[in-house]
Amino acid sequence: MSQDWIVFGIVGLNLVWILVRFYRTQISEPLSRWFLSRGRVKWAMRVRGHHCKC
Amino acid sequence: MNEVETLQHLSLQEGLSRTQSKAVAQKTVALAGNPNCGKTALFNAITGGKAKVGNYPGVTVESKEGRVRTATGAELRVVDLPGTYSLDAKTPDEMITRDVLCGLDEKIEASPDLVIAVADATQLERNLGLVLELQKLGRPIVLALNMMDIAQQRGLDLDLSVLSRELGVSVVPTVATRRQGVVTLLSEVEKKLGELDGRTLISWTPTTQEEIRNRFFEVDRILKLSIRKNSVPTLWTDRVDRVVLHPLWGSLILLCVFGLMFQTIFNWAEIPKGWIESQIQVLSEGIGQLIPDGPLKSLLVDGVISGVGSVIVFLPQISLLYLFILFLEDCGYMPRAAFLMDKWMGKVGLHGRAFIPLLSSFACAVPGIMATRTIENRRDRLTTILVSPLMTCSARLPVYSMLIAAFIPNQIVFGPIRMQGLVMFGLYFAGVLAALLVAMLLRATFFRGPKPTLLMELPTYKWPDSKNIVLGLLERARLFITRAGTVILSVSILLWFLSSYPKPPEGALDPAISYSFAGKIGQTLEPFVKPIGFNWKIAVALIPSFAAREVMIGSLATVYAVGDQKSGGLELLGHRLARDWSLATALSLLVWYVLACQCLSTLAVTRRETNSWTWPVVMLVYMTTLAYLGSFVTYQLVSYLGRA
Repeated sequence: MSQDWIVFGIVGLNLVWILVRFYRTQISEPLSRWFLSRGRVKWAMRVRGHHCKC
Repeated sequence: MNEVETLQHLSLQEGLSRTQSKAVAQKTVALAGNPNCGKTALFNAITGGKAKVGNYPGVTVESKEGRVRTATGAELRVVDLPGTYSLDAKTPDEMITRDVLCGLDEKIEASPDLVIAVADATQLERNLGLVLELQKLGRPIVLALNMMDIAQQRGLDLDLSVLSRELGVSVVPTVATRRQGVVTLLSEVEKKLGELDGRTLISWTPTTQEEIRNRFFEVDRILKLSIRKNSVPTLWTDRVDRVVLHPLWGSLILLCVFGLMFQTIFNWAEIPKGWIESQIQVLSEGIGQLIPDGPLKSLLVDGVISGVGSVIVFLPQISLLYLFILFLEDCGYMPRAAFLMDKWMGKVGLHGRAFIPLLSSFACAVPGIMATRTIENRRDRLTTILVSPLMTCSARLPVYSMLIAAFIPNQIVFGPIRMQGLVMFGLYFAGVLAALLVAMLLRATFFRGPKPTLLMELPTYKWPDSKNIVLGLLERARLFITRAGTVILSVSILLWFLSSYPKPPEGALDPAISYSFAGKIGQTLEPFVKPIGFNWKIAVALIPSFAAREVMIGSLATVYAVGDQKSGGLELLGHRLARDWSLATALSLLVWYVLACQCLSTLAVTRRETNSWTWPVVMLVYMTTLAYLGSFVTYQLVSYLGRA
């Protein structure tokens, strides 16, 4: 396997990690509030559970 | 309250996790007491937790939860509450305590089955007032007389059985910092919990003036009966305070303390910093020899090691900064500094209580902004929140250190004072000055109102607890390394990719990086940042540093390592920058970092604390504008002086 493919794999995984972390730290809490304001309690609880303060 | 309302309530206070745990724990015990009586130290002693403690009021601004298994095997849920002088709450942190203790927010926090009233044994006259008020709630109480060692050293001789009889509660002497009395306290708690027969109903009503007066008389009566020999006031604290709080000498001491701190950060950290740098160099060369030339080697050397390594070398300086802050917090000097600064803070319209949040912001603006919960008035609180990010947080330290080391000669200015330490001190001072000026402007325009006054309790001096300092230091070091290993590593990999792809076309004459995604983005941004002396590489590095300020160092290291085809990641970033930038550019970037709001977490916590998007937007806009103007003036002025 060429070095290029290994590098693309690492960068791809890294990008996924960044997106997941951004969702968990910045998006999930306001999103949960938004679901609550719409009366979607189950969704709010589910999304709220994704939040981390890391 | 319907299901939706209940959950909205829960969400606002981040209580969902608590309700889940509520079902598991059998009994809940809450720690309540006056500020700075050692509740969190006792909480840590009981639960084995590592919650932040400090020798000043207002360290705890939200409830914390821990668990403990007693000698008989029962599991208790322990809740540490913010300190309060009375249940008539005025500030947001006091409201949390009142709501939990009075069961006003049962959906958020299970009301406690028992309250451990923590009282400072050296300040019984004031502390017992709250104990009497807590009794009104009808919940079982165990009184922990904390700091008994200090009280006894001062000659206090207390008849605990009389005190217990008169108060009608069990009394246990404790020394939380040494875990003394914790076992007895827990067994007493367990005994009381065993005596519970069903839930005690409570109905809390605001206290009347008459009740407050009666409470004072009652405390007097109880203490007259239970004190055999009163403590002698500590004269040495007063003697020290006569100098430390003196308008002239006190201010000079304050300047010396912080001046010494910054000199030390530079001079003492040099040896461990050099060692880490050499180890990173060895690692870089090792990987360079191990892996054949190609993108994988470039990713590891120019991206990962260069990016993460350039930040990790600042660990000794960060540790020294926290060592100083923790030492000053624990010995009781910080509230004195607040007292000295109050004159200046009052002149610009800042509330005296704003000092602690602003002080916390030297470590990080996030806890600083949360600490504004101790401020009663919304106008004062908003002013403090908006200026908190101007205080120099620890994330700026790597950026300052790197630029100062690269551009400022380390010559002796006077005695042990060196130029680099002096510039560092100047940058911190510039942050404070900017915060005061902005606060003055805000109070003169949007947040007009009467000048607030400071009423603050000055704790006695004490020798810092080495365990607290070591734990605090380890926690900070862990956070710094974790951030370097996660956010900075991740951004370095991403930036390496953006700086390396797409590859330049055949026969291209310009450096490869100028054909990359990062090159294109940087060249698009360059016209906007050129007037302030930034090149396109700085513009590219500024974008990811919104995640965390110190990411800037890793980003610059990666962009410059990829861009430098000769030495790659083997050369130190400082050397590259000293070659590539002018002094005007370096100073302009320093000013940018003093004033800009380069932190997503700060904006997020501002949103949470103000419950509005308006204030984070205001913060971002005013700080970016201020930073741009400051950098523009610096760059143009220094360039002009250089030409002249």
